[in-house]
Amino acid sequence: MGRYLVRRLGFLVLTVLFTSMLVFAVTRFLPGDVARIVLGREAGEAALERFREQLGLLDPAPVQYGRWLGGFVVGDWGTSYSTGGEIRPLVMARLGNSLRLAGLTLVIAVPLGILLGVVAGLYEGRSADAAISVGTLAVVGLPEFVTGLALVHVFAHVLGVLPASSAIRPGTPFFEALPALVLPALTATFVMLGYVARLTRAQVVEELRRPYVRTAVLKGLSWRRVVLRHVLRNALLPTVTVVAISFGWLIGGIIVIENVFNYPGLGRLLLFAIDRRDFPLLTAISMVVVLGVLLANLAADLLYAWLNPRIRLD
Amino acid sequence: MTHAGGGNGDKRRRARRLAALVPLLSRPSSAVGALLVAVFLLFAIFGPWIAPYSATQQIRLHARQGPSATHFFGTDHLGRDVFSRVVLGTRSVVGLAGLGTALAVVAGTLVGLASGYRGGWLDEVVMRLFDSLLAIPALLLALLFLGALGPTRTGVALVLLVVYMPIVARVVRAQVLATKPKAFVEMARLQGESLPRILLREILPSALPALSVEAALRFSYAIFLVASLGFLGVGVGPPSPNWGLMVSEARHYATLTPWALFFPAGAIALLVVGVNLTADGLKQALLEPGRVRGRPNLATRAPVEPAEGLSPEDKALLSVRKLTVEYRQDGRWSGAVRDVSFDVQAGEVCAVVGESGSGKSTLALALLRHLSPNGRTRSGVAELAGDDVLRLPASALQELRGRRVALVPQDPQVSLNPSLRIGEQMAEQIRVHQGRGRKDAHKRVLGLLGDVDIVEPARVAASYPHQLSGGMQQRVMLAMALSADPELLILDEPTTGLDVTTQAVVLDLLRKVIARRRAAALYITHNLGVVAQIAGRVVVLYAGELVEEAPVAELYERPLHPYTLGLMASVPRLGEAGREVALAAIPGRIPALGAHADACVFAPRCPLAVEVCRTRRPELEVADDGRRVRCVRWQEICAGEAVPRWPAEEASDVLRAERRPVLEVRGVHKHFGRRRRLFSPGGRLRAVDGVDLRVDAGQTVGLVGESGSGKSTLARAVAGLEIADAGDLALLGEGLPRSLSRRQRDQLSALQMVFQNPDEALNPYLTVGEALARPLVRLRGHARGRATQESLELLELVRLPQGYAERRPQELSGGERQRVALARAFAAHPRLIMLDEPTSSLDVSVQASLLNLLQALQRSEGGAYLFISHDLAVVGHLADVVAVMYRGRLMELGPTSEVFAPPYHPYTEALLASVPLADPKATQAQVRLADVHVEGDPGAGCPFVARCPRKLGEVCETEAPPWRLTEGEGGILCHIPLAELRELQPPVFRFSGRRHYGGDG
Repeated sequence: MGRYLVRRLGFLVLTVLFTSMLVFAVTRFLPGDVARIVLGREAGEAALERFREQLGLLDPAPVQYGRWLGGFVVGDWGTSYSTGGEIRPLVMARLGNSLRLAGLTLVIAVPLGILLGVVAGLYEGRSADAAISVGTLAVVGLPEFVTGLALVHVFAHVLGVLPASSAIRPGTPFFEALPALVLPALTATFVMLGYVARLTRAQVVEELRRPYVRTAVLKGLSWRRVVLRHVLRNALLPTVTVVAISFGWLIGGIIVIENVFNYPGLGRLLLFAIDRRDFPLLTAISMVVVLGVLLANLAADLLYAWLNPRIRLD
Repeated sequence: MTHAGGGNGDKRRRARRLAALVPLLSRPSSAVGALLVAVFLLFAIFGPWIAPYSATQQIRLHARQGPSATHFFGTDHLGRDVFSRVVLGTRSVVGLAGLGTALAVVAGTLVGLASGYRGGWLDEVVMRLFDSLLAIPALLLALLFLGALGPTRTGVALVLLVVYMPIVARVVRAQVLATKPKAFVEMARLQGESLPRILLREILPSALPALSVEAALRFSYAIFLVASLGFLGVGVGPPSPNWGLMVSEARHYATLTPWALFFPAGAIALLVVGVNLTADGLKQALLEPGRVRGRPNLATRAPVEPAEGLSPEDKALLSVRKLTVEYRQDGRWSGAVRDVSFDVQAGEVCAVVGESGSGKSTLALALLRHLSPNGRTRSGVAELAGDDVLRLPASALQELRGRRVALVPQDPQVSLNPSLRIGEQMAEQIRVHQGRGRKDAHKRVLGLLGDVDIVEPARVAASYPHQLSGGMQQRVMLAMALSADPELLILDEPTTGLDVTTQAVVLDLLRKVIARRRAAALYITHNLGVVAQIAGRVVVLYAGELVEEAPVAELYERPLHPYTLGLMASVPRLGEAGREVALAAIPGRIPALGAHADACVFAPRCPLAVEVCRTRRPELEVADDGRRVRCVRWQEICAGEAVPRWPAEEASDVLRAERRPVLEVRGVHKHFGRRRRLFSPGGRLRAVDGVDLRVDAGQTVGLVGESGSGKSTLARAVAGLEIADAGDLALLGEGLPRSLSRRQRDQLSALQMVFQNPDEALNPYLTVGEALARPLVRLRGHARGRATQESLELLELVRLPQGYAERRPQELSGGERQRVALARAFAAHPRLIMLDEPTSSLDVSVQASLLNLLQALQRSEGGAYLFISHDLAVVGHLADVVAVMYRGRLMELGPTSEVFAPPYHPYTEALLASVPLADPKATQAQVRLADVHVEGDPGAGCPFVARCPRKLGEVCETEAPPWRLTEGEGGILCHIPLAELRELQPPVFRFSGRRHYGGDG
């Protein structure tokens, strides 16, 4: 286990380094003069030059990258061009909000998706499977803003039971914020549900075909026992990975959803940063998102390896 | 082939491609999807002619109007016609998503092909980079790039390229990795095909189905992403009619003009759903064609038609009467088992013998009431101690299975649940059937494991299946089957996947256990040697019908059915050289399911068939001694008046092998590291560990050994498919580079190879003619026309009709495919062909005809063979010289007759003693090898020391054994002096060889 962990962590560090270079390169070295963008068209050449010098934009690229990376690692994420405030507390507060939304979504979508997938897989080719499969296929295809706006229309405009906007104040306790969270979480659930259900179904169908299932049936076990003890045990193992992969998927969706509902999470902050060309902020948000995805993947791999006796952990 | 013929082929090919799309449209969901996609494509192409207004035309008077006859979808807050904007917006969404997807698919395919084929560090780096790229959510990456690049259409297309290229590349790479090791690709490499041709012609077609499904999926995600970017206001600016942007604008007026919001949103939803449904349909049509759906048929749903009951004097434990089982294929039911009746007594082993397609496994599954979803039992009775198994209600099946009838399946490795410990899997059955407590059940598990001669029951019970060897796994399956003391034990090819040494051990165990328990056993197998060793009585099945039944000794002594005669005559026997005895080959092939009229099923292939055989189905007749046979001429056969003449190649001496070496191998090593990678150390497997070998012109050298002995690796190293770590190769007296890419064209021509698996022998996307023409063009430098002409001659050479040139591999049987592969090898006029288990997945009668063909070709074409097989009888039949390998080393080498006679290497002795002889009267020495997993470095001592039954002592463990030269050309690698080895008794006693199974014609 130890060696596996070391190897896995080694890859994680390499991946973070690579993505950080990519993110940094995209935000800093692609066309566009940061100073001009930040200070505006009217700024004089001297002011621009002072700005560049202040931010170290004249240094060679590797130096800039090294300085930024060093800062990022020790927690000094710099100040925002647009608000002038410290970036880290801002990002962390928004991250908390986004995690709330993501957590709520996972809690609803994963068990429900697995349930639907298992049912569809066990009844492959019958009406229950057809209904679930076509249903999930349709939902998987709907962009978040379409489902989100449809839900707003029904629940906020027609029924009037839930707020259309989820713009909560910073520091609102979880249960007070809950009504505002329901619609965004439901939207995200729609997207994830189909994803989880379809992958689970595929796993169940595949496991059902394996010869050990026949062995179990011919041992004289009840079908119920065959499914619960033999089929699901093997079919749900990869689902662990599915959940982790879908986390990255969920984050993409949440960026859009937060903008549909005006929910103050990382996604809205990201768009704000892009809009204002606030590169330090943009880089910080991107790195936080990437770290989140990578840690989720790592957790899934470790869990999978721990659950699966076939993987030798040496 | 004429030009018209080529055109015809094209037409057939096109028709085939169209036929693949039929299942796509026949499912309602994918038909709807395809229709939706078609509508939007029309919009995208003809948008400007369909839309009544322009996208930006503002009709002030008509602003904020609901849907009406003038404005189908109403107008928005600025008075723009929503219908026109939706229609006109299609082009931008579809075009942009399509362009991005196309770029990603092309780039991804190229990268995937290169990375997967090349492997090594390039692959590692590319895949790691892609992993990192995929850690960034697609939308975030898109926003970053567009934020930096500025929101342009090119930017969006580039983003799609960057985001989806890694995903496509991974899919293609996985396909490449699956296709690259297939025989037809390796053969193309051996024939010097260029890299682009191998990638594009040999590998890419196999990747296309998965690639097209992936492309469709990517397209749907691309639409999703383009729309989302539009909604977020990145990538396009107003007033252009982008659907996402329209939604984003209209949502501020959602209460005033809801239609302006709904219609573009609906358009996105419909298009994405349409593409998804189409992709799903494509997946089913291309990747899972013809899959039988539904879960295993737990109960027989179709009513079993009544049959005559049994009279009370039938006192057998299992009585099967007039059993007919059918499968539904292409909408028709056809019989896989027809009208079969037989008995099994308690304590008796009844073997059911037949080649593939004979219905033997179907018979077993019907008795267990576990047919596949497209199968049903149509009629018959199967009484187990008085209860008709076929009519038991579904509720009683649990009691039947595992308790009264138990199955030991063919492949223990996949038949055990990989994630449950052995003890748990066994205990659960005991607890279900015998209601014991957890502790009690565990105790019984240990007892049962002890019963099947497992030395450390506690350790095995605590293991997972993958931690055990194949032999151990099969013992566990047997212990599990015995756990409830079943009345009937069904053994479905239980030793087929095992090495011959392990097979012998398991057969011993089976004999012992069955005798002790007095259970009835139904032993299903295709192996006539195993039958002779274990069965008391034999039922011979052919094409679903029982053709003969007899006690084992009588059946082998004097078969009465021509099919049985043919089977017996087609088995190569130990100690019979092919130079002296030809094998019989049954012509033709087993008929397809349901292709039976009123005739004898075997008539089309029977050399003794007369007119009546083709017009009337023969009755199952009972001979005087109680044997049963279904043949009108059995009495003539019995009296020796009718002797079948099987088509066989003439058995005559080959042109004497010249003493001129074709191939010389000196000190070849090939070690595999478990791939050493970043942060993880590698291990080493010495697959080939210093081998010297020589093949003379016109000679056949047989290479035998268990799985993992390194025999295939040696051949692959000689072929250049693996690059040997050390050692020298010489071909026709000249040095042969170890790497394939450095070999000259004439060296490539001189050395060819044929592989084991007939399913992978030929590229499924090329016709037989195309496959045969390639080496003629490439290695012999023929022009296309001449190559086509000569490929027909090659077909003739391997006794196949010329019409086969137009066929695809899928239309050929396994034996025919191996013949084409052989023709392809001969195309280059090779001096040496290496044959890696070319017959081991074929039925015995097909094997016989291929072995005969090999001998005939050697005679007519010249050339030497290096023949690899695990089957000593086959090697003995074909080879002049035999080399015995174990763990990468040569244990013994010498002329065939000498290797099969003393002095023996202890390993050779054990191999010979383990071969199941196809003669119930033969006896063998009891020399058995432990089925232990030997891994890791063998150290300084003898590689065989861990399993050697004749180990001398310390010296075997600490010192390398000497290579002792025998009188002939050969040698033995052993510490035991030759004089002592010469004292060993031949392990095969009293073997009577081939009798009256028919002559050759």
